[in-house]
Amino acid sequence: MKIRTLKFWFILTLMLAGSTLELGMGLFGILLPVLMPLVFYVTMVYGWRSGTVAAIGGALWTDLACGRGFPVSLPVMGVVVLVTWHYRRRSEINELPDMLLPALAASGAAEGMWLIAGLVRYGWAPGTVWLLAARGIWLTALGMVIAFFLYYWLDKAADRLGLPVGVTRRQSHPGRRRWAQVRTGR
Amino acid sequence: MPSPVESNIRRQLLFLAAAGLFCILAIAGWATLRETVGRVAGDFLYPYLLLSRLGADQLSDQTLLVFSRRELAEQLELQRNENRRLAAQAAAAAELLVENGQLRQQLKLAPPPSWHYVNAEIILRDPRFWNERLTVDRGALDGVTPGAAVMTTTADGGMILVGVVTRVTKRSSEVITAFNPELRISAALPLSNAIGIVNSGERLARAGEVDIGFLPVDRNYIKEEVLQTTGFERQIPPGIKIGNLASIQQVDSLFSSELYLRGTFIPAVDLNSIRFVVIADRADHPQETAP
Repeated sequence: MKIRTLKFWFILTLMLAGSTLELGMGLFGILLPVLMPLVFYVTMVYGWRSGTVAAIGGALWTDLACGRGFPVSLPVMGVVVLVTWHYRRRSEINELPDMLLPALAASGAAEGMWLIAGLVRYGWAPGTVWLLAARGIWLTALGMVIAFFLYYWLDKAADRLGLPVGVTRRQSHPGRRRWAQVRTGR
Repeated sequence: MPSPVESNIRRQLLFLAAAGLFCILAIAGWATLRETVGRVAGDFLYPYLLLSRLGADQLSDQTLLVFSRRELAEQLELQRNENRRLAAQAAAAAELLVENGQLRQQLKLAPPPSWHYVNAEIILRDPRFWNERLTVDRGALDGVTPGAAVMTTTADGGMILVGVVTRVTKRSSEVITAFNPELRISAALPLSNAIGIVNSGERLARAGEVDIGFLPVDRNYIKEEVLQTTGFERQIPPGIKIGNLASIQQVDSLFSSELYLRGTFIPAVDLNSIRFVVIADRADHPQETAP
């Protein structure tokens, strides 16, 4: 199978599974941000174009399934792609633990967007702002942890499938080489 | 001839423009597209939506096995007693219904509207707006129509309003609850002899409360008094409990020019522990009775 076809099916399966998991957990009242970490992973590993397509598809699918009156996930996921792409282009982070910072930024940006959406919908009553902000902080932390671990596990899965993986890509990144020079002093 | 770098940049810009245009079109046309696409998608997604519910049912069936035989027998006995009590209540209500019909006939009044009820199970909740919207596993094939009232029962057998059906596909329906600002229905406060409109005030209610507006000024409102459906909405039965009044706007009647008051109420339904609902729809539906 061509690598491009394999990549397409891999991303499609990821987004469908992520969306199902998020909606399934939502049925029990557990808000598990899975879509955001997946968009983060796809953008980080396969680039902003794949990330954008995954974000649009996943967001529209979730909004449609939930019957939302406005496709609110669409701008949220758009921001996730932007923030992730910013980190992928600008930073020189190489090791997996360093993924925590971009994951935190992407998760924070997504929850910030959800906070704005909530305030637009419910108004600025102090109790509402506090509740939404508290939920946002908690979900930012949760999203970061999920994004970090998903990155690790999905990289392993992609490696087995023969697809490009994030850590390997970053290890061959010019920044990685520069950092290695700094560390070894050579 | 453009260099490979220029060609790449051009390609990226083209992709960005196409993605942006697609997003703008999707957002702009969402309201229109959702109705048509959503109806098709609702049927198409039905097995997919049912997946998580099936998983939950499996889990819940397994938890039954945790109980001992004695506990299960006790629960069965309790359920039988409850069924006997409800059967007696239903028999008494049937007698009243017959009597009511006879009295109406003597007074030459039109017969009261009849309702048909459909039991449904919740198969999807919006994880982000959990209290606002839910999807149930009954649709047009079961006779559900948009605007139908969705209710649940309390432990003592009373009915409380959960929400209203907004969109119906063949096998599923979407329901919006009182927490959803889109739900606007009339609500009666029988003790104060007043009627207001749910979700018509400013969205400044505290968490867990819903605002109600257009309440008449010259009434003595009692805190925690019951709000009921009025029956003004054709597909919502009257007298169904909606919630309890939590707060009311305080104005000085001598100096204020306010024509109406705003208030908040706490919905009676506990949306955190709800799984089954009853959909009530008028038996004499407009399409059937229209000349």
